[in-house]
Amino acid sequence: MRARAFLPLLIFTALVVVFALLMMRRMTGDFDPLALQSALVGQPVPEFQLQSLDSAALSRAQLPNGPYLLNVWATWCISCKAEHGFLNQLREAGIKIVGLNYKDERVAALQWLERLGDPYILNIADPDGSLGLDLGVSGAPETFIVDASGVIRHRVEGPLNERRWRKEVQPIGLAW
Amino acid sequence: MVRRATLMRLCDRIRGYIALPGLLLLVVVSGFCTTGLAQSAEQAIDLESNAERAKSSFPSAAKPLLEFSEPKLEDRYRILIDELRCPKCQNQNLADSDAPIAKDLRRELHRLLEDGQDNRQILDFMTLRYGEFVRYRPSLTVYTVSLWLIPAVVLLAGVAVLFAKTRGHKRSLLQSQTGDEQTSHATISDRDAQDATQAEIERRVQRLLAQADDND
Repeated sequence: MRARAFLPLLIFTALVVVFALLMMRRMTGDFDPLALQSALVGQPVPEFQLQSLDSAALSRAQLPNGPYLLNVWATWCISCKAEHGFLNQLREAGIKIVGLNYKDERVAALQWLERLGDPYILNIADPDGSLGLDLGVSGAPETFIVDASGVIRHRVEGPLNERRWRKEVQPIGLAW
Repeated sequence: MVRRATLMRLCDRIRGYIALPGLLLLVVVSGFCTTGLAQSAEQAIDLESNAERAKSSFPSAAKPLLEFSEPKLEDRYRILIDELRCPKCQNQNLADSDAPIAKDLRRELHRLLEDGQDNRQILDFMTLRYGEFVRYRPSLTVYTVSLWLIPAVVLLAGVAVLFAKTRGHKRSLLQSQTGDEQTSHATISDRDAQDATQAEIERRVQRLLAQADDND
């Protein structure tokens, strides 16, 4: 009978612990209730007719053989700057990254790459965000993980970093 | 025992009170659920039915910045920007949002409308890229149907549990009453046994005393 009297307190304590853990996971970025999985997962990269940052004509056929990362970036995007160092590291580790310069200006983008290093094997210029729209991009940075058959397997919303690489990208099990 | 019995009598009375309102509530809730389902199924297909609502939610001063070749397209544009959610915002439609992506999607919507696409095609275009999240009234799937049905099922289960419990109480009430009688019988017979042994002891004592007297 006495133990039963403590039941509400026990339930309350358990709830406090659960919510505190969720909150901590939210702060570390492991749990994001606002994140949406892309509708493009399981779909091939959409067809497009654009130019590269070096003004060469580009279409889907010119994209490299996967697996590769399709990284949406822009010079107006502050978290892209935070992400850039890690992209450089990935490039050094031999990982192919295609850039999608999203709603940006060519000159500013080229200056950025000169100053911060260029981790991309190829950069698609998308000044109007048309390919971005076909990809369901809602902001920058976003990174699509594309497999060997050109199919999107995952999208990382927000800046990519080592922890997210380990937690979200590596478990997909692509042969990088 | 007395307290338990009163409690159960109370339960019984409550059961009597909730039976009718509970049933009524059930009917109302299930009615609500089915109309909700029917409505969302209907609206998913026919957006035009919402034209009046969309029109009234726009003050005449708020003219869209985009020019349309036909006023009819503009009407549909207004309905659709009310229907579609900004993918970057938690709870704003394209009409309300200032986010760059909402602006882009409004422009795209304008293009699709001028292209002569119908509402179904436009919604498909949007959900193909941004998922069901962009629609304020997502299409009927297993997930959306369960959203409507789960509350009704939980309510039904709750009512069922309550009925089963009160019925169980009634039975246990009856059982405990007969049980009480049995225990009282047992007490009486125990007491009889005690009385019997007491008499036996007394008899023995008397016998021993008599023997002692004889020995003297």
